[in-house]
Amino acid sequence: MAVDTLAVTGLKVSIQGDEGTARILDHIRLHLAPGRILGVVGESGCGKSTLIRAILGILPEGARVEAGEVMFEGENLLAFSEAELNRNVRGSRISFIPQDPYLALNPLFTIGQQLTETLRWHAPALRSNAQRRARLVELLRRVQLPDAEGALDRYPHQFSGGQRQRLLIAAALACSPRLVIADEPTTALDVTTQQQILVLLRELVTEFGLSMLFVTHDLGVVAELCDAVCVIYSGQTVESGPTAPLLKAPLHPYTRALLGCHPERSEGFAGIPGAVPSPLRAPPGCRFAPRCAHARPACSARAPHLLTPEPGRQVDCILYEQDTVPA
Amino acid sequence: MRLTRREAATLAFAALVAGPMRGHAATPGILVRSDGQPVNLDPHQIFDVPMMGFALNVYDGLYRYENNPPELKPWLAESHTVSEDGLDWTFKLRGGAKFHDGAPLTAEDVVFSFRRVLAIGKAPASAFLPILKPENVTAPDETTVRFRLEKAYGPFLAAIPIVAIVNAKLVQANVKGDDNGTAWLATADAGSGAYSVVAGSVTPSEKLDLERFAGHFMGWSDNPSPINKVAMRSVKETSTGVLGLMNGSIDMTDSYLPTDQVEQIQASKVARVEKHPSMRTFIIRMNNGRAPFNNLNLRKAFAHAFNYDGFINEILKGYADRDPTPLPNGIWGYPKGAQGYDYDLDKARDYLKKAQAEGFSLRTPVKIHIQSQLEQTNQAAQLFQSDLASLGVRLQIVADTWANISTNVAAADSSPDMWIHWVSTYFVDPENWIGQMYDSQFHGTWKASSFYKNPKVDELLRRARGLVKQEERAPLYEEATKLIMADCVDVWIYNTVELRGVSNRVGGYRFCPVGGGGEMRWLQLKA
Amino acid sequence: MAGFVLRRALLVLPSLFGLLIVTFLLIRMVPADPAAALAGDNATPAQVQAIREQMGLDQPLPAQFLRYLGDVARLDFGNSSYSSRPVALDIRERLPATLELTFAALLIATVLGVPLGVIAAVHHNRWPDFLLRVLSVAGIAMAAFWLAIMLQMLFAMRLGWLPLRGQLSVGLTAPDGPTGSVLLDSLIAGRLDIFTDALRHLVLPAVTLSLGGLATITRFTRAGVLETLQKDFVGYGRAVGVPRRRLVWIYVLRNSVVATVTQIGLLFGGLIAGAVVVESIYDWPGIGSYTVQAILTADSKVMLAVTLLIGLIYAVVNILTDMVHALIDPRLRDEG
Repeated sequence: MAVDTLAVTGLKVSIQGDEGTARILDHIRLHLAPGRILGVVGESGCGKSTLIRAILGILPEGARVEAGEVMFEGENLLAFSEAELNRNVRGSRISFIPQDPYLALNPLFTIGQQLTETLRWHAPALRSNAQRRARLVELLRRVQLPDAEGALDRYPHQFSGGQRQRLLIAAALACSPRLVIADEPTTALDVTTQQQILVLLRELVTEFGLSMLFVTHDLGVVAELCDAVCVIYSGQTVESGPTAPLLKAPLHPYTRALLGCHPERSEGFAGIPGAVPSPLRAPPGCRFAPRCAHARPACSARAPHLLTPEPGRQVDCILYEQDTVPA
Repeated sequence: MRLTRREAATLAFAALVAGPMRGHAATPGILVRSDGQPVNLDPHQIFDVPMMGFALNVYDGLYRYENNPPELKPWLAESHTVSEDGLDWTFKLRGGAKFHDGAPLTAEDVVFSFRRVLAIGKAPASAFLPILKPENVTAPDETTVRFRLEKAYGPFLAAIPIVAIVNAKLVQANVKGDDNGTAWLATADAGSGAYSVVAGSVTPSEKLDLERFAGHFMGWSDNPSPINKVAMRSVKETSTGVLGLMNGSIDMTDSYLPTDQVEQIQASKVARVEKHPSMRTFIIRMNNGRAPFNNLNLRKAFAHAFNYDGFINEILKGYADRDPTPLPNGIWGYPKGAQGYDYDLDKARDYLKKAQAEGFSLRTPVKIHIQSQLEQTNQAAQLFQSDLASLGVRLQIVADTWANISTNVAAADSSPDMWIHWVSTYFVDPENWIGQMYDSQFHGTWKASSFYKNPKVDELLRRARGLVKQEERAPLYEEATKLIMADCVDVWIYNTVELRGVSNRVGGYRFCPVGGGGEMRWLQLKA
Repeated sequence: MAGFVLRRALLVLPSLFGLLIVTFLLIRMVPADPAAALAGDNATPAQVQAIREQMGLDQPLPAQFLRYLGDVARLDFGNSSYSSRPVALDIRERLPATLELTFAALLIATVLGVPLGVIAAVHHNRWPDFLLRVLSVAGIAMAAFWLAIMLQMLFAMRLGWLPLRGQLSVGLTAPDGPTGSVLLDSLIAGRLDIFTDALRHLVLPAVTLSLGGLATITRFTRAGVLETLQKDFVGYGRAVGVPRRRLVWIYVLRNSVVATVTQIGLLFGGLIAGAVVVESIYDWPGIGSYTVQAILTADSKVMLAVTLLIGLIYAVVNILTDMVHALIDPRLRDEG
């Protein structure tokens, strides 16, 4: 079996703030096979952004990886120095599509200036600016941006939201990455555009032989796009598995609640009583326990560990403990 | 600008941290003066200390003051005569004087100059306007100038050096409209003096260069190695001037050096301080024209409450001479053995009680106006304030400016209760002091801002003004001075000692109270 | 852009008119009478009155103002009552020196202040930041007078590296030239000796004058960079592997200098005011020391003209600031 493109295990990240130490990520585990799209699902504040930053090694000041591994094509990224990450990982082998394309672009520079910047550092084969621009134009055509040539000399505010996302998708492909991390790339877009972008991403993954980590809070998008899903609640991986069976028969009470309140589009989580705990005062054991209809005293005592109730699927819940052995 | 205390403290601190100095910036062969230039170079428009420092070198007059105490000496004129009634004055010019452009200086130029002064009507004209009509200045021949006065005027000869003789043809060639050539002469030279202005070197109020005029009528035989080039540079902050003196880049400061700078300069080995008693008097004015100082006992109480010795010895470090009279020390007409008022708080208390009995209330504060940019006026006011406080009198210090005060003195009601100023030597005659300060006809001018009126004094002063012979005038001034002192019109404090920083490479320095030692004919520059 | 400048320029006229009225009234509210000083110490009230009439000061205020306005409309700013010269001529001779000084100070403040601000922001809450914060507070608090004397003591007196005062050494004369600036005219005339000498004279005054501005620019740049560092595009840049140094010095900096440019514009006015003190200490022949003298002698024509000039400079700098903003930010250009 081929090595996973990305395998995160036992990742714990805490942030030292004014009010104390908050463990933002407590127990993250995910696997992304080559050529696949893995959806990472969770509510806002569950630690999705921190997870992305931990993978790319751009955690904010005060944040610290306490434990775990981030294996990328067999190498542990956490052992890389800042310089190595910059030279060989970020922007080159792992590229990134941000959530809000408008905010991610610097309003004072032309698209060409900004997007060739990555190529300048990560595509040494392209010697001149003209070559870099040519490469970008080629990609912009591929992502169906109108007036691809003229686009490079325009400024971010002169594009629509969907066009800007296409620009950044093209930029993400420019250095032939192995892995693309997409951070809710469609959230800021209207439904029609969202649909077009999803179709485009699917095509590109196949066409360029990529793997993609697709972070979202939208189960509907996951159903449409992703091969596998990893559900996160308050910094803990609660359940993961292939998309279709997971959505059809969710195992974890949280996943079930999530699907229950909005089977197609999980816009609100109001259906679940209680609120997401603050990472500053997170309960021990399973963090969902205080809101869980099936909670038992043992839930708070037990260290998280994933069980494999059926092949390919994993869940972190005491309900399944008797049925199987720990993974 | 004079040094404030904060500035002086900074300077002292700077001297402390600086240690030995390496800067050595003397300019070979050029004398650098930092005492500034008049705001305008026309000697008929301006008459002040910087103008004298300039005009005494670039222009000549009929007579000139020299030495200390000042003596009036024939200059362009070799002699003069005056009629018995004091109305007709005839000056005989010595021949051979030339202007800087080579033109001969004739009686016509003298007539033109006096008429121009009268036509412009500014500061240099004030002594002449009441007594001289332009058409009454005439030149019967090339070397004779005749004045016929409207009325006899004793100080006429004393005031003659005020008028600089300008090159009539040159000025006339540069007249625009009815401006009498004022715009042109403001930055130009039409003189015959020992130094001439280098063309193109003038930046108004900032800098100008002078060079020696070899053809000066007095010749140079009394000074075998005169200075050939002079750079006048206006230094606005005293601290900069003192530093420049110490590093050699300045050879002469102005003559108002703050007393706390004297020791530092004396110790520097590169420069010295020239200390010369001058005729500038320092006075605290009291407004006799209205309450509260229309009360003699209150004036006496104040006169006894000023710590004269403390001010002179402590604050001025002894660099001033106590003068209890309104006249400068050493001038004729000075009452012999004048006692004046001493610092005695017991006497002050007695007079204050009498003043209170006559209606003066301790609850009303007395206001004293100082000239903010002149630190010494502030120091005097503060010293006065603390002594008066011990008597229970509240003295309120008001920061003010010359321009403002000299306007407010137009009437007794708007004039301050008290204010502080100096009276400089414009011409050496008692008229310059008590004549203009205490004759009631001058009320409304700053010099007469005591609003003092004593018919007997008026009569004496007017009589003295109308006489020509010094021996007749002197007793009248003595008597008037005694009356004025008995009336305790003002608080008379001291007679200035002028302090000028001079580089040790400058030799031949001479001082005259008129011009403050700014005349350069006799200076030498050591290599 | 041209339309924008024209619109702004037209808006300046009413402001200048208002400025003129206020200044005129303020000057006339102060009772100081220039005629009294001109008449001299021994003048009688009649002599003073004669001079007052000659200067038109005896006329009613509105008449005086209208007359002045008429003169100004013909670009005649009158004569200084003291120097007897046209005020416009005095200002034309002195303005280049002040501009030389202010531009040099601004240059020093900007060239040092912007990088220092970036360094402080990048090292937020670490020692370089603390050090720069302390220094910038000191820079704003330190009296120019005190600093000037310290600089004179050190560089002119103790080390003897730089001249104490003035604009040129005694013995040198600035060449005539089209700009009136000694630096530029000596360059044009090819007189490198004079240029060097003038430059040496410029150093201490410019450094003294720059200090307050340096502190301000450092602070504003630091604040701007700190704010911009929080922006998404910085995170995106890092995520796609743009080196941090390049991100900060090129991309973040450009976004941060918008506020700094505004400050530089405001500072320019402040610098001209600060030049009053600096010019006095170093005897720099600019309009600062000229104005001080005018105020002390109640020379109203000079005060009015200088006020107008400073108002005009403010307005021009404001328009320039907006133009620079538009150059930096394409969004403003598109708004027109």
